[in-house]
Amino acid sequence: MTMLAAMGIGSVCGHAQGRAGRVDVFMGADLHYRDIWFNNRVYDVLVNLTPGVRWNMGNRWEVAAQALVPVVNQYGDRYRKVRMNMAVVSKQAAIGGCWKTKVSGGLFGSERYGLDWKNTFVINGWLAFSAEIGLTGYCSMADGWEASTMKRLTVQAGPEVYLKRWNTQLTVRGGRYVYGDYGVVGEAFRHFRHVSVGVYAAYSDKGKEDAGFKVVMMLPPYRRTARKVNVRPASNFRLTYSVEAREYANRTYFTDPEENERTGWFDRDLLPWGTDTMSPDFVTEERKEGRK
Amino acid sequence: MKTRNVLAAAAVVLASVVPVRAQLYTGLSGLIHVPSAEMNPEGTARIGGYFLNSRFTPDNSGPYGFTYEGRKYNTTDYYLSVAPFRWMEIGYTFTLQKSLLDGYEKPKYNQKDRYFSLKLNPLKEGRYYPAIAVGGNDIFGSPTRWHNEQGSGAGYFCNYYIVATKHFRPWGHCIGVNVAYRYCPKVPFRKWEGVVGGVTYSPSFARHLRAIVEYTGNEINIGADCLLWRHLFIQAAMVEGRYFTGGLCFQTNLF
Repeated sequence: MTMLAAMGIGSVCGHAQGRAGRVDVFMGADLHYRDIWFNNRVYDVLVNLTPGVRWNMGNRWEVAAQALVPVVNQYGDRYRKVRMNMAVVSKQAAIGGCWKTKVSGGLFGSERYGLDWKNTFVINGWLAFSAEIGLTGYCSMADGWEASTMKRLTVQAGPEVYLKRWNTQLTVRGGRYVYGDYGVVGEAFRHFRHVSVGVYAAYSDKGKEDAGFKVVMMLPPYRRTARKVNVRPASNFRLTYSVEAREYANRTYFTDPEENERTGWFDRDLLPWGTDTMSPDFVTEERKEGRK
Repeated sequence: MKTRNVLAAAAVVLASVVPVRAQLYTGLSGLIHVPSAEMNPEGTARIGGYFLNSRFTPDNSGPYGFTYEGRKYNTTDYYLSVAPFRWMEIGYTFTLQKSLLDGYEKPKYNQKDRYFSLKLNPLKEGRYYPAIAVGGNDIFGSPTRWHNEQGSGAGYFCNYYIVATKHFRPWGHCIGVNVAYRYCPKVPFRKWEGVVGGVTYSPSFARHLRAIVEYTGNEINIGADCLLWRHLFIQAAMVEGRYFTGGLCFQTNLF
């Protein structure tokens, strides 16, 4: 019986596009735990600090990067080094009145690098279709520099339904995943004021059935002052619990150090849909320039 | 003087409690071991732990169960639960198990049993009719057994139930009557199968303190619970009126 689970504190995404040139410096923690039945421990724990930076270059161009700094490590020597986790340049755009798109390139999460293209097609107030296409390779700095050629094509696509009355979102995406398996993942999220709670079920032709739950909690402070350089804590706590915890099934990657299921892929003011229409978690007040 | 201060402090504590209902070993609403048709308010989330007396754990004879060298042992569980809607509660519970692994000298709590709990409430309580709920614990069994892997897949806590709850309020007191039928497809939980039920009592002067008596199908338990300072929920009970079991959790509303 082997169970693996991971939870992480990342930081926020889905923010409204701020002023060009603004830089955010943030710090979170990335917590992992796993249960390997034969090592006589209930859990092995891995805790990384995750300092990151985000530079808004304007016109929805953005650069974001994040490092991993291990502070507690029961996972083994492979996870002991300070290393880069993500370094991404991205561009978002709205095409027409119903198509949101985002292109990203660089080092992604889950030790992938390459190019990624995210799309959401808004059909109406409650229905949208999303599709993500990636061309990536393996890249890790955990044990020296390891990389493969960038030739793994991944595609996931499917419908999203947002039920505003119940503030509930249903998502189904199927396709090809990072390790070449084919499968489908269905999620149901109930959104609350600053917390989203969801359950999911997944099937992969290699990993077979899986299920679990997710919690996304936006962390205070919820009221911020906008500065040229903002130093802030991580903005969300994100937990994923997988019953089967198969590392190589239905595996995807994040292209933003602050990505999460609550706020989605795009700036919340880019063709607002779904949770973008909720009251915002964070209110940013512009700083009075003349004040000393 | 000292006694008076203690009583005053107790009065403050009792005055600060708010309505509660929990079958606290799973984090869902209920009595102690017996479920109820009461539902937590929408948005209620809990994270907590529970001391499970050996009399409170399922029977089994398997290598991963709740016996070690032929004797049942006390253990603890911990859980997350949430009421995403008024009519639904869902939870996930981990229960520690003791075993001696090859290469080690002493047994240890080094394994866990894990299960989902779900409760649905299709009928709210009315003036003349009870609330009705259906649900179950360990509703999928252990998924690892589906893949012929090393998991025991025992479904130790597997049970499904339908329950009715009606409250009566004579002279400001609140008396809750719960009757359920519990179906237990797996052997370890079967001793608690059949018609089960219990009575709760909340006095008018401490409306939110709750005393409980329940029949689990195998024994009679007594206990009490209350929510302190809006977020700390405590339950203490005596299994068969003799063996302590109980726990506490942090509770909040996500709205």
